[in-house]
Amino acid sequence: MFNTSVTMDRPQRWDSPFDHNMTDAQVELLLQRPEFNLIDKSRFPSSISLEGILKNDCRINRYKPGDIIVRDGDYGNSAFLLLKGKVTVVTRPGLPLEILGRTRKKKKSFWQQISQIWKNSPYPEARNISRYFDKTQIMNGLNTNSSILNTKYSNLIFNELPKNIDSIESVPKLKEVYETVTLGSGAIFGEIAALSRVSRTATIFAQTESQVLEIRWQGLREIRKYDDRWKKIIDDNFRNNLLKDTLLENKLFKGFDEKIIEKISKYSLFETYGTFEWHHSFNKSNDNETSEKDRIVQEGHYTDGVILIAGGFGRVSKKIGNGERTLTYLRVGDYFGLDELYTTWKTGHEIPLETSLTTLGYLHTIRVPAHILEQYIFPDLKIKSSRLSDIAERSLAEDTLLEWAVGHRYINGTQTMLINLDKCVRCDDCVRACSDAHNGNPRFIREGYVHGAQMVANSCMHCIDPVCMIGCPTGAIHRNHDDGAVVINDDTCIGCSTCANSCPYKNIKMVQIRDDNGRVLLSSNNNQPIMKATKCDLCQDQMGGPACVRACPHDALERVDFHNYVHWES
Amino acid sequence: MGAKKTNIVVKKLRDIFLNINMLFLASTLVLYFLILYYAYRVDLLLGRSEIITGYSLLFVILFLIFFNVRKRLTVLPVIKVSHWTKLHIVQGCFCIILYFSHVKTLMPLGANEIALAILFYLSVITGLLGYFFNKTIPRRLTESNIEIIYEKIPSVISDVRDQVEKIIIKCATENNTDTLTRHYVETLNWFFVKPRFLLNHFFGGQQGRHWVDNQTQSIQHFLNDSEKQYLIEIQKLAQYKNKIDFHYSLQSCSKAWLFLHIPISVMMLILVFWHLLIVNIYAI
Repeated sequence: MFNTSVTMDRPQRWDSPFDHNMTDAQVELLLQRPEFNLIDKSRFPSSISLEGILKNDCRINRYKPGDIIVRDGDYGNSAFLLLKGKVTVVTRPGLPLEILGRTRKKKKSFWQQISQIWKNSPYPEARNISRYFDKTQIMNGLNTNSSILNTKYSNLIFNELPKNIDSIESVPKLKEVYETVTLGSGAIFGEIAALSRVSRTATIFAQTESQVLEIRWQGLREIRKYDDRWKKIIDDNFRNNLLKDTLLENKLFKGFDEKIIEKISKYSLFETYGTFEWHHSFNKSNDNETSEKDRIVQEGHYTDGVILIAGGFGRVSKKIGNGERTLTYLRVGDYFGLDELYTTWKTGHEIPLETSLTTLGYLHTIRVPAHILEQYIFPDLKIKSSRLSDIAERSLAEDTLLEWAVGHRYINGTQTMLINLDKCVRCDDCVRACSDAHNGNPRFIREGYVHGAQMVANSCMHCIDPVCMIGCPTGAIHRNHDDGAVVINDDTCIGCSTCANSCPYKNIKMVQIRDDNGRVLLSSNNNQPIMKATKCDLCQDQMGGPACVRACPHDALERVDFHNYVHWES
Repeated sequence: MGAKKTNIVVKKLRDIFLNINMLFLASTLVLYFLILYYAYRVDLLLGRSEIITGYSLLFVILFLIFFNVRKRLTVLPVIKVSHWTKLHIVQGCFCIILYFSHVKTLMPLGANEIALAILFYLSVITGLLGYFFNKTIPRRLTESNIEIIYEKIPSVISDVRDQVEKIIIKCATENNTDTLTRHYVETLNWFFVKPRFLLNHFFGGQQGRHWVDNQTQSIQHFLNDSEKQYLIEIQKLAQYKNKIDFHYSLQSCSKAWLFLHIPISVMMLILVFWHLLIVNIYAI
């Protein structure tokens, strides 16, 4: 008789701590600080103790003067508590892109564009590597904390740079044009971006030698949940900085007085569901099904408020047969539960929800209580409420594209490469054009999942939720402010593969770098090849936009925002 | 509701008439009308309209040939290639009218002119053939329900063959019989070596599928239950390979027609210049 099973410990939440080197002594020291000392530990469940959170969801980072802690425009899952030292927040204007490890590619001239035909390198991934050598510190991966002091562009932001930057105790004052705020020990920052998955709005660097406690979002969510003081700090910051603007931008409240919006924001609750690291489980399982734990509200239940979507994606579904039918999906600016609440208010009969809402990965919501809506909004509601359940009248076949797009998370794409296979003659002119525009290296593969006659090719989709940008140690991968494209600065990429491993669609490729003569570039430390992340950059430096689109002889290839595409097709 | 329907109709009419295709078509029509009308007026005045139609034809042919150059200059930031394609098709079709208004006969006299006419006809025929391929082959490929890059086909066939051979070896080892192995060596191997039934695939036949079904059924009654399971796996792989053959056949055609169309067109252009030279020296 064979033994057909093997045993293991059931996976636990803290099997993968944020930092394996966090010690009990450090946790003990943290607990003595006023930020944690005043927390009532008894309110935490035994399985999620405060000590556990500090040990497993936190890590202590040390920064030298000038080290960048948070970059404007970055996405991140962590908040920070300053333990020791001083940090400076650059409020406005933002620091130059070059300081943040980014770049703005210049458009090539007409002649430069033509000359690519014969100037392109015959070797794959060949570069002019001389520009790497003044950043050997970054290239060798010795120091992943970028500093505002040791870049060749530092003189752009300082009136005068100290001669020996290694021995300075405090960063000199920035040029007058920059408005800054200095934070001291005990300051919390980055919590809004961590909990609501919006990009960081300012750059923060260490003013002096600093120690910062980095708390990953799971831990932060628990502390906020079980401690009123932390909750108040976070909620107040959110209300003051983001909530009012979010409400004002929502189509539901268009035309309402700002004072009413302020009142609504006072009573609104913000909640986060699902997991920010949805891409990890999606990568492993490619699981398209929704589990019960992802469900926020269920069809047939009653709701106590309208749910506004402030981040992430939610699936609106209705039970049909043995499964759930996706009726639509919601993203930033959409809302859920209005029809039922409005009808209840209008008729006086309580109406249960006609559809369910589940998270697709994570969902950041603002819940506006029913009594507030009844008091301020419903009497003057101008928009015609559209009943989500009415979409169920459509035939099942009509919605297969939507189901497919939601299942594969293509809804995340803003510039998805969609190829109409009924038109595509498979000539690969698109790939050739891409290659010609990128020094002989194509940045996509004409392969991918197919639905009907539509193929989503393996090309960067420039996602709404760019999970690839989380964790980049140098800020090399970033969102372009001009057109929203997600691009990689080749000069500052250290080849750590964080972005490539995070991309749920496998659209970032790590490549070996060669010099102009085709010689592979090796690390002086271990003789391993120097790698760089590469992906579609929407031909940032080319006139006329993406070369693939321009080169297609049959209009078979287009770059689409999947939200518009799915709804147009439906 | 009525207004909404009217809006949709207006939008559809606008989509039909106010698009780039219509613009190209209308501008070509106007241009050709002007050329032919001018040639007609010249004829009426007992002039030589061949000079007008001939030079117009030369410019149209140069424009048509330049399309191939434009396609190679993929990064050229001038008009999308798809617009060039549309113009190429429209101009290619209309230049037949210009050709006949210039030649005024089906087959001109003289060896040089006959060669030129034949090359022109071949160029037009291969062009129309290519247009037909471009319009029909993509849809047929999509309907096969697999998608494969042409250059990868040899390696994919090799992978499929490896998988089949592994199954055969596993079957022989497990069952201690060589029935399936023998059948593979004698018959099935031929199918898995390279793309087969290409012409039949091109014309939409099912010979490949039929052959696979025949060859798998013919051996069934020599196999035990365990071997039959292996045969089912091989059959699945064979049907997959049959679809790859289908892709190979059609994708080859969609590339191969250009190897006729372009050289013929270039030869025609050379003869056109020769014709131009001769005419300018001896006729004008």
